Amino acid sequence: MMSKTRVSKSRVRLVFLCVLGALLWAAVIVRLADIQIVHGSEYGRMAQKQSTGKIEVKADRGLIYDRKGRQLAINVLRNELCGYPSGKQEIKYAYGYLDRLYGRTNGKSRRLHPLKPERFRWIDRNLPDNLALRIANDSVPGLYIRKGMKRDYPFGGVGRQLLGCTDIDGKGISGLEFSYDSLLAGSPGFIDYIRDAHRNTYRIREIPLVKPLAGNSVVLTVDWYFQEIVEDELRAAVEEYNALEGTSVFVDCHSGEILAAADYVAGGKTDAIKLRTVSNTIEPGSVFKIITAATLLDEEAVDLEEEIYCEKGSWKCGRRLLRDDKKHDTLTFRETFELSSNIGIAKLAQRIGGEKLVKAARRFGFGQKTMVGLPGEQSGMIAEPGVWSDYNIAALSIGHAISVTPLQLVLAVAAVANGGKLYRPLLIKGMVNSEGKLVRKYTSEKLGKVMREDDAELLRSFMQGVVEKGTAMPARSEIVSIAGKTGTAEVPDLERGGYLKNKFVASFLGFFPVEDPRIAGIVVLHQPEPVHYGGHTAGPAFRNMAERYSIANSDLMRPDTRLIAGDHGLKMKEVPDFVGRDVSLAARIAEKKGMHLVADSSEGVVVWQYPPEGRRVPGSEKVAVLVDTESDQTVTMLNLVGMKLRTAAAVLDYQGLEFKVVGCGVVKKQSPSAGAMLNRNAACRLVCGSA
Amino acid sequence: MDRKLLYSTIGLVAIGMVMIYSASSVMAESRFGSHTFFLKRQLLWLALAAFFGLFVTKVDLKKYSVYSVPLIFVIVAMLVLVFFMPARNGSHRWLFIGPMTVQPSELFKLVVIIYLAFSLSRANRDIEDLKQFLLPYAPLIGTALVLIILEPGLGSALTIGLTVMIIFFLAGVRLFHLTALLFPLAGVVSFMIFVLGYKKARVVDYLSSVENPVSGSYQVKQAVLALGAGGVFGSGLGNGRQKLFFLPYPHTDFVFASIGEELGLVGLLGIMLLYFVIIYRGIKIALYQPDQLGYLLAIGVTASIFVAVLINIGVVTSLLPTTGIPLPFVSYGGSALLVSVTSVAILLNLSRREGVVVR
Repeated sequence: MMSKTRVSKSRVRLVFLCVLGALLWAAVIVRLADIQIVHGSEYGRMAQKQSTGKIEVKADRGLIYDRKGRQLAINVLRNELCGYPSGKQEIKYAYGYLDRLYGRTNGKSRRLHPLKPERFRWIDRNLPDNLALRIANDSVPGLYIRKGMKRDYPFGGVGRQLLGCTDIDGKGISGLEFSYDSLLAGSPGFIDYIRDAHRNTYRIREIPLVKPLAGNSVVLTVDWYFQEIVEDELRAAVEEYNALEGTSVFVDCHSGEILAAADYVAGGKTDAIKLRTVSNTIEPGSVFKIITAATLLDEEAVDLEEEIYCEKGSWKCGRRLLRDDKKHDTLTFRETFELSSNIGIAKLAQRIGGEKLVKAARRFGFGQKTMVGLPGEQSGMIAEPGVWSDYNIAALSIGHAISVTPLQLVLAVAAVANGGKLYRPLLIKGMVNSEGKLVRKYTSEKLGKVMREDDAELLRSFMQGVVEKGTAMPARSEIVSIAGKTGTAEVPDLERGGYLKNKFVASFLGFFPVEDPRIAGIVVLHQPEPVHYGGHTAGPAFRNMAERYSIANSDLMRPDTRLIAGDHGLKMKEVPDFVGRDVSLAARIAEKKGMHLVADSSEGVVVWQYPPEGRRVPGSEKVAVLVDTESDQTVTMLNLVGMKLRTAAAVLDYQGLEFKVVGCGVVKKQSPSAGAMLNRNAACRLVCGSA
Repeated sequence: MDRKLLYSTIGLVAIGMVMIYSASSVMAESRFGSHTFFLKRQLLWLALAAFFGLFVTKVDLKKYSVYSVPLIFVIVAMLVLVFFMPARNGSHRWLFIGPMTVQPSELFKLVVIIYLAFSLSRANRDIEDLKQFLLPYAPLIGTALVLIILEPGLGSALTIGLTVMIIFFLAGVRLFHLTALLFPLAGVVSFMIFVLGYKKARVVDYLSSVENPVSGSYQVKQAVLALGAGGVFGSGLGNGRQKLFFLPYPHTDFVFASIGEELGLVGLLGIMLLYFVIIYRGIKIALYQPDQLGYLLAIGVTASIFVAVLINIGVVTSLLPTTGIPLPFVSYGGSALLVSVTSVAILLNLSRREGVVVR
């Protein structure tokens, strides 16, 4: 029924439509190829980006070790409590829960932690384990516990000015933690995850896409055992001599490695922000005579036999008067040094003049930073008048008109001790990566030869004389041979110029042992009263430090003492670890060691001891231990008689008792008597005397 | 029976089921608490469509095509009824009958083809007469198209309009008459776009997105990113990320983009090959038809499938402005599946007619 013409017309039209359709079909395929092949990777990246989230993974911070491998700064897990409530209901419940948890008054948590729905907020980033466990058990909606890392210093306050500290996020903010932060911190990694357009998270991977790179660990040159001794003795000295503050630093003479560096501010107000031995300068006073003497020897400006007239203690130098503490008639060069005659040294210094003295001072490293790598280091200053008057020369020769850091002084005297080689100070022995491989090693750097070997040897004998028969006789030790120089500098008046009356900086700069100098160091006490002589304040402190360190390292001891120690049972013994043992067992162990154990109870488990484990003490010393008691309120008075004052003080400190001490040495009398039950904060009194 | 046509259709429907599940499971889980929510519904519709399709392959089309005349009025009534139904995604496209949703515009697409084939093949019809051409069809089809545009469902209207034009064109309507028909239509469309501001933003988006697909509207950008992310070989079945609420309608109007992301260009060309087979077989079946009814029916359903596929892919690849129409056989949507399966059933029926030998 279809007409032929209509059919043929329709066929033509169909062919036309098919061709048109095929062209459109081809156009779509070309477009697809353009999107999926030509622009495929570009669009793919855009798609990937919008559906990928990143979570940062913190890197483990590197540790800090001392030279013997003791861990000084470590990372420990901590519980971090955070709030991420979904709504008002959860917030309300969380506030009530937190109030109960912390025992706060109603509504206090609301003020302290303003939570908002769907908003993250830290609540407590250092939550104690027991509370964390409670929260985890109660599973409070909206409150979450995270595990974080916290910096911990196993030695407590020891060396904190050196180590510095980190902020809550683990970033170094002072000390070595600050200086070496970039190396310690490592680099964070991240975990990528898939998220949808509503920012919901899907499929978090356990394994990070980029692994965090743990920070490098730092190995210090410091011997933490020595550091502890130095801090302990420095504190004792500051307290004993009523000083405002003290600072002390010791280095290895043959490498410049710092072995200990400590500060103590009276009343325990020591700050962890700066280390005074590099960040504060002092006028050195008489200790600088070492440099003057070295220059005199170097210039061959003085004959050892020569007699110098010391003007009977008062010499008009230019328009000013120079004084000695003791009136001397004539002295040899050696005596001038040993007795620290200002007039004698000043007169001799006139022969070489100011320029040469300044040059020598610069050669010994003064007036420039040591680049030890601690924050806030000072360079010190050498005053250089345009025209050198006699008095200017005299002032510099006895250590005035110059400011130095204690570390600079120690490095200079280390050069004398080692035969003339000046070293750059070294605080870091090396860097160890997270796998324990040494990645960087720091070696000692010799800055130059600053004096001749024979001059150094002669100067060392002068310095030994200072201790043996000069101004530092109180620093003489039977255990270790010490050489040094005392300083008693006046304190500059910063407001009016000139110097303050009766305010002194007492110092002792020296090295030990004399036979084979190994360690150089300094003790500086600011404004000790009433005794202000360096030889009588800083000197004994230096001696105590040297003695205690030498006892633990017997090769530093005097050869004769070493023999005596061996023969007479004076040999040092290591204190065993009593903590965690039963008292009766602890007593038996102590008996075997030849030590005497003093406990506050005859039964129970030891929770505290002094001296601590590993400390070397004479065998006969009394060791105090305290036993775990039920009561929080009362403590039992120990029998402290016969105990070293330091041990007794540690016990009372730990028990939380206030105490007053008369005398020093070994406890002779105590009140209340042993066995008394005391409230915490009760007052006690100890009378001490020599053993 | 034309096996190539049948297998191609089964292949497309199977791919559709897998991709509906892959693209919708995340959304289904989040919205309805069951990741198979959409898959189960579509399977139910498939059962219905297969049953109905089987029926259609067996009937005598010449006898049954007369029912399209009352049916088309029912459908137009339904197109009016949708405006009394709640809107979904901002448009009144669906009738909610109990748990079922029916899309009358999809049904209209099929019914109008049958109606036109029936009506135009009648012996007393002189198609070259403008009066006979305009009077019976223009009021009815025009009303329906305007109703669909107002839903708004511009994409569906476009598909239907083009299909109707192709049928008229091949039925032998004078070219002059056909083009004359276009003028008022073009007038209405431009009036809506430029004076009423209807989808003006879409037009602006469209012009920039033809040039640079990612600068266009959010939907087109996400579709193109999905295609790009798939690249040549795709990210693997189920690995697509654009369905995580980035790509809107990942299992319905933009299922082609979802497939492109997971199966890549290779997968898309495969699907386009299956469509090509269906269209090719459809044209072949049409050419072997002994009468005008069969010819127009075959041409009509084939054209409707081709136009729908072309518009859907054109939108996804940002060649055409964004307008939502489903991809035949593949997209989620009961009415669309029913209509496309029935369309193929009609072709299969026609392929079985006496004298038709399709190779």
